[in-house]
Amino acid sequence: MADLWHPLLLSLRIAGVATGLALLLGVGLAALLAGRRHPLAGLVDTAANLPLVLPPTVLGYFLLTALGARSPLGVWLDSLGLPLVFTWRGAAVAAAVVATPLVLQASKAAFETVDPDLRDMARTLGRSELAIFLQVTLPLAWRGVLAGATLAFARALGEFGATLMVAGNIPGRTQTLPIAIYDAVQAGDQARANQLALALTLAAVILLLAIRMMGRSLAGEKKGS
Amino acid sequence: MRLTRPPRRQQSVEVFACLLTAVLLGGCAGPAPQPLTIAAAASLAPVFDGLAAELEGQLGGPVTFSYGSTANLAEQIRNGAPFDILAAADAEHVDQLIAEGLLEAGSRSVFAHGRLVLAWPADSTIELRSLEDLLDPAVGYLALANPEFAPYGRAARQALERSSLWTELEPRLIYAESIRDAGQLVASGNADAGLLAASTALSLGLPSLEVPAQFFDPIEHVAAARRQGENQEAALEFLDFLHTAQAAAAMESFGLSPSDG
Repeated sequence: MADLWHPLLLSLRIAGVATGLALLLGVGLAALLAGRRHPLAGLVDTAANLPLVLPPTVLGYFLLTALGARSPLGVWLDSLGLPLVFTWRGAAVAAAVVATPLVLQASKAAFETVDPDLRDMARTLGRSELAIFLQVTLPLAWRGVLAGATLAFARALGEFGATLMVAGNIPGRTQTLPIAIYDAVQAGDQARANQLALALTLAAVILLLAIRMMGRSLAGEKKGS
Repeated sequence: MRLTRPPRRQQSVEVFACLLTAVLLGGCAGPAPQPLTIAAAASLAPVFDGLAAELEGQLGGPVTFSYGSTANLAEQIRNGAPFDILAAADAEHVDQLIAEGLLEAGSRSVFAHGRLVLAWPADSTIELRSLEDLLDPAVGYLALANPEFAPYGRAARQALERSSLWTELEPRLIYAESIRDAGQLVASGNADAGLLAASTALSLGLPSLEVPAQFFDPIEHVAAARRQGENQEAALEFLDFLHTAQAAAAMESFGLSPSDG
C-alpha cells in the first residue's frame, strides 16, 4: 500500500516529459519572439505567459474543458487510443503548460543578449535563418536556455493544482508525489506524508545538482573548444 | 574546428542522459490491464482502506481507490476518468450519472448510511456535551465540509439549522473541500470543533459526540458500476461484497451504519 517508488518515478517521468515539451515550445517561441517589437509578437508573448499568472486550478479547468472526454479534441484523442485526461500524459501536458513560460522567458532574454551583428555576419556568409539559430544564437545563449529548463523541471516536479484537475488522484496511475503527499495529509497519515515529502525534496536536490554539474561540464567543453 | 570533449565530463553527461531515458520510457510500454479502480467519497476512505486486503483476496486482484468529494468525483467521471465504480456519499450524484448514461442503473444500491458526529481535537481543553455547547465563546472555529456540494456538509448545515444555531455560528464556520479535509482541520487543532462523518472522526482518533439522526436527512451511501466498463465483472463482485456480513461488520466498526439487504 504505502508505495514510495511509484509516485516518485511517476513524478520524475512527468516532470521530464513536461520539461522536454516546454523546451520545444518555449525555445521555439522565444526564437520567434526575441527582439521583435511587432504588436502581434507582444500579443503572443502575453498569451504564452498567461500560465504564470493564472492559478493552476483555472489552467486545469481550461485543459479539462479543452481536452476532456466531452470535448472534440478529447473525443479524437480517445479514438486514437491516447486519451490525455486522467492519464500520466495529461499530467505531463498540464505540467508543460505551466512550465513553458519559464523556458520562454529565460530563453528570450538570453537570445536578446546575442549581438545581432554576429547574426548579420552569418547572413552575409549565406547561412539560412535556421542554421544561424542553431550555430550562432543557441551556442551563445545556451546558459539561459538551461536555466529556463531547470526552472521548468522544478516547477513541473512540484505541479499540483492543474495536475489534480486534469489527471485526478488515482494511486498507481496518476498520483504524483505532490498529490500523494496531499492524499496522505488528508488521510491523517503523517508518517507517509513525511516520507513522501522527504523523497520529493531529495529528488529535487539531486536533480538540480545534476543539472548544475551538467551545465558546468558543458561550460568546460566550451572553454576547451 | 571542434576538439574532442574531455572524457570524464562526457561520461557524466551520458550517465545522466541514460538515467533520464530510463525514467521517461520506463512506463511508456504498452497498456497493461488496469486494476479495478473505485472512486469513493472521502468519508469512505477509512472503511475501504481497512477492507482493502480482504477485498483484494476476494476479487483475486489489486484494487485502487481514488478518494475525493462525491461531487468532484462525479465531475471527473463526466470528463472521462477511468473509474469502474462510484461509491458516493449521496444518491443525487449517482442518479444523475445514471440518467446521463454513465453508470449502470441495475447495479445501483444503498450499501450504508452515514452517521454525523460533533468532534474536537484530542488535546483540547474544551469538552462538548451538546451542539448548544458550541455557543461557548471558548470554541472558535467550527469545521465542516462545504454544504454546497459535500453530503456531510449538507447534513451538518441541517443539524445546525434544526437546532437553531446556524445564524449564530455562521461567522465561525470553516468550509473544507471534503470531509477528510474538515477532519484534518480538527485533528491539527486549526479548528476547535467540527461536524464530521463518524468514520472520519474515528479514523483520526478524535473524541466525538453523535448527532441524533432526526437532526439531518439520512445520508445514503450509494454505489453503482460504470456502464460498459472494462472491469464490469469485478465491479459487480465488489458491489455484491458491500452487502456481505463481513463488509457490514467492517463498516460498522469504521463508523458507518450498514444497510440491511
